Amino acid sequence: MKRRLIRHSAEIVILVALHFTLLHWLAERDVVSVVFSAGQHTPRWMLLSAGAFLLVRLLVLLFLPGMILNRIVLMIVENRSKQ
Amino acid sequence: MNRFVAWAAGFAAFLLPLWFLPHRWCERDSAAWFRGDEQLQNQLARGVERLITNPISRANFKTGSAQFDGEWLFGAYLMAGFGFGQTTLEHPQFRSRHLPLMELCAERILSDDVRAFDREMWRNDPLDTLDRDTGHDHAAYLGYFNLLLSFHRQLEPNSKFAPLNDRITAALARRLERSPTMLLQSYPAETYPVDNTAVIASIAAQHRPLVEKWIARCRKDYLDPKTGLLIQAVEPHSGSAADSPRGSGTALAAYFLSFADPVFSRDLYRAAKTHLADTFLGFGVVREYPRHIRNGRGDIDSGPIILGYSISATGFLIAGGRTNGDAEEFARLTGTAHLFGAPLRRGDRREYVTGGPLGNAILFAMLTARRQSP
Repeated sequence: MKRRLIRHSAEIVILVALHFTLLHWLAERDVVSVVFSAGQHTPRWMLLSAGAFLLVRLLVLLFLPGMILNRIVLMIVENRSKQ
Repeated sequence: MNRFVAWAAGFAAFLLPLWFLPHRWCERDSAAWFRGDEQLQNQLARGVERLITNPISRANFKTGSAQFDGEWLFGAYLMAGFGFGQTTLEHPQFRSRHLPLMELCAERILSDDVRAFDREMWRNDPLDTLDRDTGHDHAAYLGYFNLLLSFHRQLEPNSKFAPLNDRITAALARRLERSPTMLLQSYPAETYPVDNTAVIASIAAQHRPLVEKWIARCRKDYLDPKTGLLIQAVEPHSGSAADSPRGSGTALAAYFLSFADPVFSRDLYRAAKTHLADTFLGFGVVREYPRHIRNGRGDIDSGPIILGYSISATGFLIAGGRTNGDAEEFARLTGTAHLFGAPLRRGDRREYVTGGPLGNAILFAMLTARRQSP
């Protein structure tokens, strides 16, 4: 139980830290602004970076709260069934 | 059984926050934006100031088309100028800093490299042809720019741009009077009613009867009778529809017309809200095409279309929400701008990381759009 809690917490911290790092790193280099204005001259690495950033952002802002609650509920249910 | 219960409880636990939390989190600044919070406006103004005082050129945009890159460069200065003007109007203490920035935007729009996109399309300069009518309307460049100049003059009656504003206004009014469709061409054989709403708003202070006549004509001929949405493009000579009624054009027209005719602006906003606005997980999203039009394509005006929803229409309708006192729609759309725009505070400035110069300038203009008195 304790080990799983630590693992889940680490996953959450890593996701949030990744989002924070990408946000600052990509902002510094003005990379993600191509994502809504991409054309044939947009370098592929820029598009990939921008797409990856948006994916991480959606994961953190949209799905992370649900993932956390889901894991808490599953741990509680599992704990109860063991008792 | 226990396993099923655990699975169902876990699934519900995953879904519940998805419905209730993310949009509320992303909307948390919307009330402050709506009431015109001085600090927020100042932060975004500083972000836009950084972007437009750095030398930017067509090379900063990567649309794949020199013309569109030029339009976006022009649009970045234009929208930044509106933002600086609107914040000056709302918070007079910004005047000493924002009015010169608005003037900087106007000067950059006047520069040779920014007006090149229009000159390349028409093969003559928009400012060289002001005193003669050769069928070269230059509606996009002149209409949008003149609206910025008219707005500047409203804020600064002794505007140094007043003589140019008068010349452009006279040229646009004269060309409109002569046009059988009452529409001017943005580029050769390309006529967009939305560009003409900027033309109309820009001459409203000096040519009210013509503006009234134009609005009546637009309501009759250039709105979709089913939805009240603005037709995106028309045939230059007949004025018949060449494209569908669309969200990006209607929402942007509602913004421009708020400078000249609040009633028509509100009608366009309501049409867009009724027929195009939606929510997805609580986030406000706006369709580019009404529901009865299937497989509508995205283009440079709409931006990418995802599940039928348009980036541009969603962004432009933010202004309509604020202008028309619709706090709920404003909050929903601002939440979406937060989710995809990724605002970041650095020191005293705030910038939308995915916006670049144009996206930030547009959001600056939309989030600070002038509120109409009820």
